Amino acid sequence: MNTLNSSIWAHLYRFLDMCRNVVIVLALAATVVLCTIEILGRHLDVFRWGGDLEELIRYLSIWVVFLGASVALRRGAHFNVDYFQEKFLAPETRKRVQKAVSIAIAAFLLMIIWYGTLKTFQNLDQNIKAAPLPFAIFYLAIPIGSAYMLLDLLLMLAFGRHPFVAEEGKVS
Amino acid sequence: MIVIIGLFLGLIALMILGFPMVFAIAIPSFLATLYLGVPPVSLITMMFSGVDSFALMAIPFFILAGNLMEEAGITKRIVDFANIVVGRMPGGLGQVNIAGSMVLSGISGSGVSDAAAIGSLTIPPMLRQGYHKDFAVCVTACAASMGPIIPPSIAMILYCYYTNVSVGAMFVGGAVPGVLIGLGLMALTYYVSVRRGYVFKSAPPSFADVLLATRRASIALMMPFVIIGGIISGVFTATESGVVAVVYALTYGLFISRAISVRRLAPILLEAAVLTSVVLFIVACSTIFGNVLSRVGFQSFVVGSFALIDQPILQILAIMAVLLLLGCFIDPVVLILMFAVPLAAVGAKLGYHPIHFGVWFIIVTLYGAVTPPVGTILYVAMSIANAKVDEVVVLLIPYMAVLILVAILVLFIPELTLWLPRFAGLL
Repeated sequence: MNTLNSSIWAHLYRFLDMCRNVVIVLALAATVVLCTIEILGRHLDVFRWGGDLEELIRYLSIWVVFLGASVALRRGAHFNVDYFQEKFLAPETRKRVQKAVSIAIAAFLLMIIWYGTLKTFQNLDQNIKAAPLPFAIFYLAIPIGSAYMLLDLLLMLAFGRHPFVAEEGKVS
Repeated sequence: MIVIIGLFLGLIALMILGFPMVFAIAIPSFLATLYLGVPPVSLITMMFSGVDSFALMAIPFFILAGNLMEEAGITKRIVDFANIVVGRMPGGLGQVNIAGSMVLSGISGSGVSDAAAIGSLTIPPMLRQGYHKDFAVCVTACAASMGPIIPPSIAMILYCYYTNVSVGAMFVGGAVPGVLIGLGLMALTYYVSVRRGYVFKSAPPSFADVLLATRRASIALMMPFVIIGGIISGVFTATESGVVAVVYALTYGLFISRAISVRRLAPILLEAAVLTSVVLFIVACSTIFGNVLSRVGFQSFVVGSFALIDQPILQILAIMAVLLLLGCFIDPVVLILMFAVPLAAVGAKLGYHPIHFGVWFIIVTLYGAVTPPVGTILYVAMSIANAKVDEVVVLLIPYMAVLILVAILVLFIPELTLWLPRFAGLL
């Protein structure tokens, strides 16, 4: 695992992970700042914004949700019920079931990536009202977030656990 | 009908197999839309529009505000303050736990984070002082269930999003029932502590101690009033009150307590985003689920099914029984997105005020998070105390009885919920 951690793949993963984290942090910080401007704008002329700020805040949150969901998937933070497998399945069977579950999720994510990309291309020419930005930028969050989820899922499926993550939430 | 049965059987099967709930909802919904002839690309539009809501933006804001306050060390100050106020009662640390949860509920909108924050500060000293594990776990878990009932509340924001009810009125409506739960739990804790001999003598705090603890906790004590006051006065909306809470917590953490450094902001934002996405990703995927249900007339099916019961009182008690039973296995967030719309329609047909029914629905759904075998809040408390389900389940029964009693009181006395929003001019 040590060789793997210093390989070019590990560096590439860390770079992708950093990009994901930067976008999440900037998008969430921007929603807070824009919403503050929106509130102040109602009371002070200095902060008045011409466009539809609410629209921009809503669309930025799409990036937060879909990229954040991929981090949550890697950490195993999504709600799930493991009571039944722990109670009724032998450890070996449980492992096999977990693999089958991961494969089914991967297939679903592939579908989302495919149709998400199609939808993104369909919205290349249409701009949002708040700023001269195409809708496609915000639809892109769905295939990108799903691709991150697929990447982490396949890595965990191939190696049994995440090869580049030392502990929950920390990239090794 | 075949689609409804297939959808729910698929969901249950995937849930039992261990799929994350979001995929247990999304995959059968996706297959059902294919069966119904919906173009697959429109699923992407549904997922997008599912989270394209300004009202839902309150969720990341309140989570972020809670995380900032936690990072700023407010939980310790709240616990110190609660210790001064109720720490000398029988079951002192248990009472501190409940009173602390009540105050923290006014900052955080999530029961799980309340249980983690208060539990990690009070459970270890409780065990050291001689309290039993079952007591420490039951008190922490049941007290944390107030988190989503006392405003702000992520669960209420979700409920309002699905049922088009005013978030501000729901927030204010949850205050009295939330405090009632706290008082009920404190009364039971008093009784249990006297019976079990959890009476530990300590010197009474000096007036200076009281002043100091109150001053140190004042920022936390004021936060609910800032949020609710802003909504009532119309200065900002419920979503914007989340941003005000963030700015308030940030100002406190950066400039007053100075416990937050600028370098820590990015990790705090990331954590808040991940917690947010756990909830909102389910909301995005459940839009497909909701679309299927509305295509096959699930709402009228549910309303019709409950109408088969003659007595209105039995109908509402049947809803309560179903929610409590499902809550044992399904997370409250998932219960809200699956049943809020059809059950709100049943409530409206029975003549309940939307705010009254909504607050009651949230209270009942949240109890699922405290009951085994699948209770997220209970598990957080159990993991801190290193306890097992069979160790805590007996004492959990009277504690759950208190919670259910409050739910019944809220159901039969509408003014417990409606008086405050009416007084504030929100109804």
